[in-house]
Amino acid sequence: MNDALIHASKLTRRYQMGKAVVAALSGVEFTVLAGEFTALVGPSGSGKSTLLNLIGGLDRPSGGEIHVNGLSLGTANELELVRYRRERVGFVFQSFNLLPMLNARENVEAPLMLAEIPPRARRERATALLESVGLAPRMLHKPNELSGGEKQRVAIARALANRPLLLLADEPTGNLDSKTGGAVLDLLCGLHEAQGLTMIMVTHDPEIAARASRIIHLRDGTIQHIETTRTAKKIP
Amino acid sequence: MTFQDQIRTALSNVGRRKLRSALASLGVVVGTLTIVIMVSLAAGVRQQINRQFAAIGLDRLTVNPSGGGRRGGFGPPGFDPFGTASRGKIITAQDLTRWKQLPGVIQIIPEVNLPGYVGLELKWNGTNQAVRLGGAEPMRGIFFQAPPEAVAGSLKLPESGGIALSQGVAKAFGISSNDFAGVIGQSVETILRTSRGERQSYFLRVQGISQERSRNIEVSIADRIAMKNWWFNSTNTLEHEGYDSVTIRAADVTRATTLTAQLRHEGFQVQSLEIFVEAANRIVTVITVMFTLIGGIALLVATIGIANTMVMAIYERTREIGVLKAMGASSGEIRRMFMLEAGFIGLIGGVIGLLLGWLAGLGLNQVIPIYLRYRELPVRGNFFVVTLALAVGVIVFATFIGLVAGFLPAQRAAKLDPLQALRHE
Repeated sequence: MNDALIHASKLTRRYQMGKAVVAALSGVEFTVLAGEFTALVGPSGSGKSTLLNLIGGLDRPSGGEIHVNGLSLGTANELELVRYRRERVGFVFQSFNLLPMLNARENVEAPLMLAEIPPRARRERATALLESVGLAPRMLHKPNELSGGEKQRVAIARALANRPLLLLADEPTGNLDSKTGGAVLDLLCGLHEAQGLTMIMVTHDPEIAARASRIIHLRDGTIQHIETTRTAKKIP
Repeated sequence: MTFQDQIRTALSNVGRRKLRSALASLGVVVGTLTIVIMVSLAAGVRQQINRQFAAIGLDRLTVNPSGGGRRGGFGPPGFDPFGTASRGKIITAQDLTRWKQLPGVIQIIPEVNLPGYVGLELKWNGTNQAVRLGGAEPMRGIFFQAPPEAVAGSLKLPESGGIALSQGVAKAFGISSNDFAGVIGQSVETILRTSRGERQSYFLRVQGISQERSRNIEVSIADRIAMKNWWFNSTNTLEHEGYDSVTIRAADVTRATTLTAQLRHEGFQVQSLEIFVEAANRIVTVITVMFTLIGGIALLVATIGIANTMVMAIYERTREIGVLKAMGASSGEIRRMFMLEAGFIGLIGGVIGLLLGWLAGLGLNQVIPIYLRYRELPVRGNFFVVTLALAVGVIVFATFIGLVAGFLPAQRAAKLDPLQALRHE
């Protein structure tokens, strides 16, 4: 699995802010290998969330191209992008973003429903996932009855529901105290190691970034440098 | 996302804000209620009109042979020594057989008439009384008058050999109404007499006595034909002249109208009061359309309520829409989800409105007859009639209204940019 899963070249994203055009990303180039844990770090406004959204197919580049698993996200049509988000990517957000009217299990079932998995299989898969994140006893609770850490565990289980290639996390511990944040991070790293999941995480916590195999430092929309740790594989 | 899941999701979304969904569908309830009450009233009134018209004979029509001037011969034009019109298209026995097969025909009463000046007597118990052969006037018992009823026996005559008397005739023979039953089955002599003194007798069996006070008799059709043949010294007046008139009873007023048009098309002269029926039906139709429009306007107003609810719901759930899109929901799925939600609000309102309207009609159907009895008006039956077409139509329409109301808000939801939706607070 040493193949490049993600490859970005001259990736640019500009926003219209009133009359001014702001470049959130300009000419970013990098490669992510399958099975790697990559951290995107940088001060706020450096473009790390923009980059994550481009990788996740929630946003489209203004220039350049980004290929994920053979799909060119800039030129893919709407349907291809929808399928890409549904089948290839799992999102974990800072603010959890659980559907408030659904209980924990139904939240995990939601992406399976979108993928047209039959109800019984859906339920079994969601139950298994919630067990694997240690939330089996809280399965039928609504989000407002769960603690922050529990919510994020549900969100992680939901992100994994459709067995994605890529797990994208935007400051997943940002809304959690350090203890629960650490536990959530342990869970994510454990999944990454156990399942060989490719994981990209936005963070500004150097301690968290240090657990990644590759750290991309961003500033003002450009990559300052890419740091590889001992666990990183060599990019061919 | 399967359609089944979309329906389930939409339903649970309607259910999660029960009060708001109920308020949104209230407009639909009012609109549907209006339409159901108004249209069922119109349907009931139409039935009433038809029933009343049937009671005064509008379900009957009289078919005459088509005329063609007078039979020539001598005397001034238009004069005929026998007083009979020549006929272009005659009513044959085959016509009668054919008409009996037509849909909506429940009874066919052929008439063969003798000229009005024919002397006719009834001889019974040694006394003779002059009588008239009933059915000579084509309008008798046809319009605005129910057919005469029997006071004894039956007025239905066999094909031949039967006679029915009016109670006027019976009284002329000195029979009191208490003895009417004893007359049934007896044989009477009916005498046809020309002015030159020739006479011919027919012995007929009394079948019944009618309530009529005039001196009328009714005679079986075969004997009428025989009388006519004798009078005109012919053996087959039926073949030449056909029947003089035929009264057709239709199943209802509408059928009578259709039959009238059909038989006219065949070239017969048809008398019926279908103009009245048509006018009344036209008025009811206009009223129905007006009432439906009022309900329709109420429903249109209801779309505003539903649309408003949907806009609110979408605003509140903007972030959820963003999450759904991030999880791989397509714009089409988001749009369908919200349209179905709006459709369900319309459907629920429609069902409730239909039920309320139906119940209100049932209640009024109980109350109105009490009032009518109190006023001693001879009107019976239901005033509110909910037909299946109305029930289905109104629910389909209410659902459609919901879908229309939901379209633009749902379109907006579908077009939301996932990133902006996710940032929405």
